[in-house]
Amino acid sequence: MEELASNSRRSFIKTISASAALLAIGANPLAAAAKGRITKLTILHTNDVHSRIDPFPEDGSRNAGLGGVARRATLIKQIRAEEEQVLLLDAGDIFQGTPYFNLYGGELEIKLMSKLGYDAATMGNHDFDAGIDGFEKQLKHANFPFLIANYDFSGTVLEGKTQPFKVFHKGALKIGVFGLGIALEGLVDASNYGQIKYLDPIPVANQIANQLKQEQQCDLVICLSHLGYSYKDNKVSDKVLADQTSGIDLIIGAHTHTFMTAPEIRKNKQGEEVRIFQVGFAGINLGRIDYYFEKGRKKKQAIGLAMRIDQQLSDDFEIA
Amino acid sequence: MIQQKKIAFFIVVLFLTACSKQLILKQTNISQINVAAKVQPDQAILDFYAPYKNSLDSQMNRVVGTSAIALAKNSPDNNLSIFFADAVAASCKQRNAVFDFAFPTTNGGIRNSMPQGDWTLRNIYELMPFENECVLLTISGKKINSLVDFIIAKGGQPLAGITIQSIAPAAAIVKINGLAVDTNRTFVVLTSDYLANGGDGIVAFSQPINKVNLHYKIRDAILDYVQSQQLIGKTINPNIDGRISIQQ
Ligand SMILES: [Zn+2]
Repeated sequence: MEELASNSRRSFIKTISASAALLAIGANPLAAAAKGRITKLTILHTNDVHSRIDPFPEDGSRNAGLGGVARRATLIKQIRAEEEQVLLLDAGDIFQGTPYFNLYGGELEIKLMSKLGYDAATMGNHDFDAGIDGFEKQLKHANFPFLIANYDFSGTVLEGKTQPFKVFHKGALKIGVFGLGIALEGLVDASNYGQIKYLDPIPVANQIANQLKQEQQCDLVICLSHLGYSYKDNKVSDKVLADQTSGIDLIIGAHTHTFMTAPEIRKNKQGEEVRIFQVGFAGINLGRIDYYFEKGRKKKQAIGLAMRIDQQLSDDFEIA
Repeated sequence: MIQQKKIAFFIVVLFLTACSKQLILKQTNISQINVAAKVQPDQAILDFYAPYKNSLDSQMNRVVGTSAIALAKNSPDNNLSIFFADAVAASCKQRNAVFDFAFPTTNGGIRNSMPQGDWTLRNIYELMPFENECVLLTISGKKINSLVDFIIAKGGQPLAGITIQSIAPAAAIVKINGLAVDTNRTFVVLTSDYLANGGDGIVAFSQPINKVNLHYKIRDAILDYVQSQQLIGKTINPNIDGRISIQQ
């Protein structure tokens, strides 16, 4: 991450288009795609949207004018019109932060995600802020599954209402997606999480990722994680998850509200590449990662970016 | 990182990889791509949630007070934490609650900054969206040390009635209402039910001598304070008074 950031400052180039940049690196997956050898998958994602349905108000504060679900809808629509295979995912903390949650209990957040065509989401700690019952009540408004593999909901109203993972078929591709939640004790009031049992995410992730990769033969395995990007102490985080597991290709992170400009690449316990990406909070950014799969070869390429959701995109931009 | 200019940009980072070992291509270029286009809100989505928005706006756009300055938490001793702690303490005192000092939230519980000028009810909700209630905890003076350690380790917390000057890694001058801490007495801390119930793992708050829930929401305490100031024609203008300083 650090290296990427400084590197991007040094090699600051104003380019005209994405395809020009692709040509510049000497590989051209787009041309190959035109010949039909390459399948492209576009992953769009949000995290910690925290009930930010309207953009931040124009009040001179840091995030004034940014975000907004209706603008995100436009971007998603545009990308779906341009791309054949799109997956839209959220990594949790959908609820809490604006009065939309206090007044409507999360109903609008879930209805809007359904309208935007989210394919799946996982749960964040704040998704329990109206209790397990409060969350369960809104599930009927979701036309997408909640994926969470390391919470045991036995004996609660959520038993059987979430699933650990889902396999998506996009064209010829098989994509396995699973979810991981953060430890609830000390983070969520005990009265709000009740009988939910938190399970160590590392063994759960290893088991599910390998099931998806090996048994189900998924071309790509994605983990929606609400564990948080990184901590000073040895608390489990996305970095720890990446390093101590195998079978995961991409971790879409949340909780720490980390603004990453590009995915971080780490090596998993078998030395294979894992990417971690997280795009801040409040729907200020929409994350995008394009994977290119080449037929016949176990080869894939990826391009990632964070898209700022603003009123308009201008010519003027700056990295500081 | 990225400058907070009111502009938009696309950053594209290109990297290539392969999952089989013989085909690994290394990252070769990073570039920023600027796309000149407009992101207009999707009208169907706006129309869909308009009834929710209209109802919310009619309840939340009410001006409840005015601030002379913008408030943000950008250092250990910041005007937003000071405002938050003082407001909750003042409103609870107004309700005849008796306590020695206030620690009504951790920094993480302060969820938004506050603008200069008029404050609406929406601003108060976005500052304190949680439904937490004010709680009085009676704790032994012997636990103050551990509480202070927690506050310093977290880089400061919203406090009222207590001052902490950390002067070295394990040493701090602590005063409660201007007096040195007498570890032989007990202290009553105004906090939230969330922290009192073990939220954020504050060891000093576990097994208190006494615990009283005031059944008064922290958000309502803030709102009552802001409205009381508005009623007497005063603007919000918290002073950074050095109540907490942290030696790095
Ligand atoms: Zn979270």
